[in-house]
Amino acid sequence: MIYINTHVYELIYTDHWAYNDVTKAATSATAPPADQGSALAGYQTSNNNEHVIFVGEYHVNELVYTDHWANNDLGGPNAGTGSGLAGYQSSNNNEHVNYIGFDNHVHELVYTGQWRHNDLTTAANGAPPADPESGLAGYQTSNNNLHVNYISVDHHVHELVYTDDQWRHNDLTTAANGAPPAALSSQ
Amino acid sequence: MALCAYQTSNNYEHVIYVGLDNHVHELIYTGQWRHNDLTTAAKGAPPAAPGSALAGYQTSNNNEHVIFKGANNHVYELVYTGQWACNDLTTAAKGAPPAAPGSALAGYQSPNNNEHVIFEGANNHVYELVYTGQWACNDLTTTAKGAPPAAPGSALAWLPDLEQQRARDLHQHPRL
Repeated sequence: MIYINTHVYELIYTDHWAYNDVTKAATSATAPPADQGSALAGYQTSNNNEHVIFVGEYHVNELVYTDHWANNDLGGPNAGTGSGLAGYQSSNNNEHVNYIGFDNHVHELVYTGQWRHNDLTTAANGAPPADPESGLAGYQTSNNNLHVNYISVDHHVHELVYTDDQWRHNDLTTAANGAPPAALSSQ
Repeated sequence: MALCAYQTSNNYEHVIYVGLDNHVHELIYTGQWRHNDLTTAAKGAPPAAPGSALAGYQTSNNNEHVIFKGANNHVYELVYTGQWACNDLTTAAKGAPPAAPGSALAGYQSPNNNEHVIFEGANNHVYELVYTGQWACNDLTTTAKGAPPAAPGSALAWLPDLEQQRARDLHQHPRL
């Protein structure tokens, strides 16, 4: 279990509960402190590495455990204040990190041997910007499509979906006739 | 995070959110998108606290679990076992403290099939509600001796790990 108190901490149960200061343990590069209100995402990849995603100094960072903890600044445009985070590995072994930027676009950092950046809001023609207080969810379905969900300023729930080699947009609130509007994080 | 999404073993897609009416709602894709008001479907379920976090997961018995926080700062579970029902986990786990008003939530099933719901208490300790046939509560911050408290409103995330591998590494390279 991961939580934040400026540093990122891990509570781990082996035969008893213990804790690790993961920020301090990261040896390859100095891990920045987590920004106040930073979200967290955690996932394990098929090579058994563990990945913890957080925002430090507005940059999206990765703490990765191989046989020790290390920190990587994943690049891309700065994350907006209070941005949600989602992270997962897809079946082709690529890694995906989603966040909301100061431009209220949904961004993807994808690892395919090196980290690259995609602006998903721009890629999915017609997708509205996210509300800055939107939650965020990202995952792959069994048909290999990639999905990112967010809430727009009009309180609709949206989906960005990657299928047939392109990102598309669906307004799920409109698609599910009669779905009520979504609240934002502070409501 | 007031939005969560997952795919169930029947390939349905689920997007869960809290509405402006403080009900927990589900958008479900079964060939087309439909909407369910889970708070209404689970008789007796209280409304969510405004700004409540959400967590959702499916267990190996194909039940679905959606975790939210009520206005009384109790942690609740909406569970689907053919129909939706609501459980007050704070009450079920005797001695569990209420969650902090701005607590994040996380939920998952461990390989031994136990269910775990994580929240932050008003004392900024990280707590676990665990189901092993009945619900119990553990203060993880106290149990993990020396662990600092969480920041108020800290994010929480479950990190799946290979416990045996990590145990071996911890024994070889103790970091505590």
